[in-house]
Amino acid sequence: MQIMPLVVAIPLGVAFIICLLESVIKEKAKRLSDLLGNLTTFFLLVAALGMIKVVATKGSVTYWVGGWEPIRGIVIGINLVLDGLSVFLLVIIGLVAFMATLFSINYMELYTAKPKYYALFLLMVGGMNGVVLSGDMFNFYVFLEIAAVASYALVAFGTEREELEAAYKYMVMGAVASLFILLAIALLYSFSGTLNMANISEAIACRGINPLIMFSAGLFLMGLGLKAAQVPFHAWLPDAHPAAPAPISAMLSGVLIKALGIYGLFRIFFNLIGFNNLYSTIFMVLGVLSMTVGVFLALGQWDFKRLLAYHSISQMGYVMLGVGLATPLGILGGLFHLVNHAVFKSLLFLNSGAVEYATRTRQLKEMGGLSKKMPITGATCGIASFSIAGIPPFNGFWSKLIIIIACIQTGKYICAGIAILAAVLTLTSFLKVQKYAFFGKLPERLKGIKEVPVFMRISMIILAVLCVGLGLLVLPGVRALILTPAVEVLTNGSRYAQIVLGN
Amino acid sequence: MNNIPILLVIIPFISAPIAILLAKLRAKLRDYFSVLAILSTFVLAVLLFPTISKAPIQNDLFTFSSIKGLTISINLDLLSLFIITLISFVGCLATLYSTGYMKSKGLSRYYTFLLLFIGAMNGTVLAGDLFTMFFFWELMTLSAFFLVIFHNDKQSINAGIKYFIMSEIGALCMLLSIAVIFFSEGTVNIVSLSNAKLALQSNSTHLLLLLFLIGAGVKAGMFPLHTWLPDAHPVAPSPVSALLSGVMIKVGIYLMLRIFWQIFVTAISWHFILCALGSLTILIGVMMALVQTDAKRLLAYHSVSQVGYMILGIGTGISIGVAGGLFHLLNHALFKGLLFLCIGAVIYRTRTRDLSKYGGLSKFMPVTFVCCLVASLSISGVPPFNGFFSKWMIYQGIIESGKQGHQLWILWLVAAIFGSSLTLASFMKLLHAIFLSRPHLTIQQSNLKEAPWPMRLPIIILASLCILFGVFAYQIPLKYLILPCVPNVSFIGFWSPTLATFLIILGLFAGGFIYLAGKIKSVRVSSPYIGGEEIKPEMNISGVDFYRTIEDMGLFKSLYGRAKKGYFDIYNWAKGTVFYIFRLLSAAHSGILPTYLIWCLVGFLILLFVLRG
Repeated sequence: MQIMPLVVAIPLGVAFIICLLESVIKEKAKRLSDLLGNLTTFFLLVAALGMIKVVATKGSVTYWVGGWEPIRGIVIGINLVLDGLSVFLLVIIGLVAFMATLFSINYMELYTAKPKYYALFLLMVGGMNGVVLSGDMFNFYVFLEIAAVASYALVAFGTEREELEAAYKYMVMGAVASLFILLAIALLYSFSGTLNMANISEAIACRGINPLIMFSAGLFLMGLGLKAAQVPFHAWLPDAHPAAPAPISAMLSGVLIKALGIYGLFRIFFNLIGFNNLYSTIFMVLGVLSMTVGVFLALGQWDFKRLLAYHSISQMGYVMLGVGLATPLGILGGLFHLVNHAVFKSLLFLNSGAVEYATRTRQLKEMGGLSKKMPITGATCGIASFSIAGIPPFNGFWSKLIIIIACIQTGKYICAGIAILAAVLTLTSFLKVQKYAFFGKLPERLKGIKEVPVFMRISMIILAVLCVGLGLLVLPGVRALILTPAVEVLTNGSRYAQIVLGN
Repeated sequence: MNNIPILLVIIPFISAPIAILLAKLRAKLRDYFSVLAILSTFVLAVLLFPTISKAPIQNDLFTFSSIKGLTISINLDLLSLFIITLISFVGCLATLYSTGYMKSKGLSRYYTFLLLFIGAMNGTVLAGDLFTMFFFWELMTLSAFFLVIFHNDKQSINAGIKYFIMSEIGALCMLLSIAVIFFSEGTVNIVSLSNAKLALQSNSTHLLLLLFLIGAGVKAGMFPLHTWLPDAHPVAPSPVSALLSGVMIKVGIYLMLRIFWQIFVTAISWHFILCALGSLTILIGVMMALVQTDAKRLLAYHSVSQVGYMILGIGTGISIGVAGGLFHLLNHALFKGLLFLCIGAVIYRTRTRDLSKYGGLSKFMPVTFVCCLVASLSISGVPPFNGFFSKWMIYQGIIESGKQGHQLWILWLVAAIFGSSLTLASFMKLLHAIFLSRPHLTIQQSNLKEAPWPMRLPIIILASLCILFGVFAYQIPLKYLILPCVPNVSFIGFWSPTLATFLIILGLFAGGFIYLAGKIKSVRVSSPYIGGEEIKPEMNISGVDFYRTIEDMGLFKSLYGRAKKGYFDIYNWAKGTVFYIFRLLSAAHSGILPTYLIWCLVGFLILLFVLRG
């Protein structure tokens, strides 16, 4: 029994079922949707963890949808590819999605229409799973759009002025990016006569550098760069991420920008087009720009979630820089930072949600001394803050360390210097968060606040534990299980085609 | 056997969670357990001395097979063991002191971070490779941060944040340097690096050294990176201040010793830079200390100034100078720890740090007074106390370096001696304002008595050591602790502290004899008066006011004025720059969709231009 198509099909199916249930049993659907949503995401997490083992034993696995296997090497059907990089992202998506749904059980009581929320949520998750699994460009695009459209709706979920404005901006810019991506895919199709990634990869490897490929590379860089919120294509993110409900912000910052943008860039540039020095430079320039611009902008923010949103830009810059170095160490650092960022950033957004839930405000200036009344939120937020700032013994320290060392290994001293500058500024801005939100005296207005309900607490605690524990991922034995296969996919480059087609 | 030194780090780390658990049973149990934990590390460190003096323990605990040359290793030689012993000793006394001193809520957090802090410091010193050292270095910063902000008021949070950010900048600068060394030398093991001796071939190696200097300098409180220190040390709880000033900044000095004295072959220009920075640190620290009105802030500035002596000692590059610096490190840990604990005892009873609000406490707290006096004389370098001896060794080092052709040595010597006398001047102020003169109106005399025993005991121990290490300098500290670490020390001139002490005591006896035998008993004692009127309590003039003159002297006036506003603080400069950039970028983010789309388009065009092939 192949589990691979299920991780795409089940969330899409459950989303449909939830909608159906809502129209049939109306009010009762609320509790049921909680249950269904959580079960689905839990299944996704377990399935993804199970797939680690599959990848570890078999390497890459290709699934031909409907049994349409290639005939004499000619691909006639659609394929799903499970390799180190896909399973790596599947685990991240499953983990953050499960934590976010767990958090939503209590948190989404603030909003109405919970079943619709879960339906959209699962649509988005299904789309993301599809993106990381699909082995052909067209399905890549379709799933990308499913996830993106669901996320536009989720950003607007509050349907207040701020949310709608943010969602509108996000939608317009996202649509522009999608069009660029679609155009790039069309160009690749016209070039190679196929939409299958493996075949495209073969064609490009065989026919070499070509202006058409360069042009579509530019289109991809812009389109996927926008999804990954790289400067100068980042402007939608600081509006969209804060406007969404907290668990959605956690999903957007924690996985969406990675599963759509970062994953797409890596897959296309490493495995399809073939990475070279020019792309390496572009990746690093984008990374360094995002890193600095993001963190400088984050420093002066007073809206808790907006501050976090700017940090997502900055931290994605680290990932781009690390992977852009294209050395095994750099890629390792970049991917490691990717999973770390997923954990601590989603935790931070859940923290901001918990704070908002308790105090009904997102303005840091109106908070203070919260860790007295909300010890768990305070402690978990402290851990996440130190993780993102790269303080040992938390996970962010290790990945930043590896990225900086990798920069120095390749002689990119300036990049290392900027990475350090950004790390210090990140620390500065999170100390500011701690100072205004959690340290100090409790203002009069907030005397009556309580710690948040149990499910919100559980998800925050699990993520905080992971912030401490994920540092272990670099240990040789554990690394071989999940990080090394993902790194290998990227270092293999164009050999992706042979691996997928099995020859 | 070879892995026993890890216990020096593991004991405090394991004790931290145990302490939290014990607090559930009884709070006092947790307190004494913490003391016991640190005491056991101290005992262990002392017990290790015979082994280490035979052969240092240098081994790898863990080797990363995938990356060549990357290990987790320990290096316990006499130098690191000496520092670790010092850390655990002062740590133990400070923890004991805390059991009496700390009364607020949430003490489990305090003891946890205290234990982690001491463990992390031990780890930093014990680490045998620079990456491991960096890890513990960061951990030390983190735990110290939580200790500094323990009081959770605005002042301490701001100071803690300043400390954290500045330390982080320093640490990350150091990381750059460490990583470069790792790739150029293939190892970051301290022992192999010391054996290889990195030469300064090109400009880039100078840059490496500079980055290390920034990292260690921030921690040590070296000018111009010292600005976090006078903010952070006063706001921390007193035992923590004693630890910060007494031992944490010494970890920075320890690193400097390793880097400048063991790992790199330093050029004469670097000696010059170190000496110049050391002298500046001495002078600026002491000049700022002179005008402080906050007791603990005054002490904090003296920490800056005293660190200058150590840097100067290392900067001479002469064995006796380095040994003097190391000895001064030991002495400073003792007397500065002692001073912070004494002031802590005073604060414990009076609840204020303002020097103009004390007065006449010597009647109520004689033990504290005597101990504080000993510490003040030690720090000012008055013979026969320990501070004198180490400063004397540093002076010798400077003179010796002058003989070997170092430039401007006479300036460093003048700065050091001048700094020493100003130190005395400012401690006269401190002693007068707190213990002598007349009690301030706000002091409630009924509450005043000696601090409780857990606080008194550490004070007495440290004070006796100050005397002991001064009088028997050759016999105890130099013989067992300092000279084994620094080879080839030769003293010039002659100074026998034991003999001198004997002569001083003899002199005192003689004076006493003359006093008793002679007819000078009939001294007229009258109460002080102003304009024929007896001085009433509200007319009291504290020692602080005498020193206001300095602030008003010509050139100093504008300098002090600006210094108080923070014009000379590089932290403020950096902050200003960062927020300027933020405002620029923020203004560009107008929130208008077409603008953002234009950015995307322009970005795309640039990409196409780059990709044109």
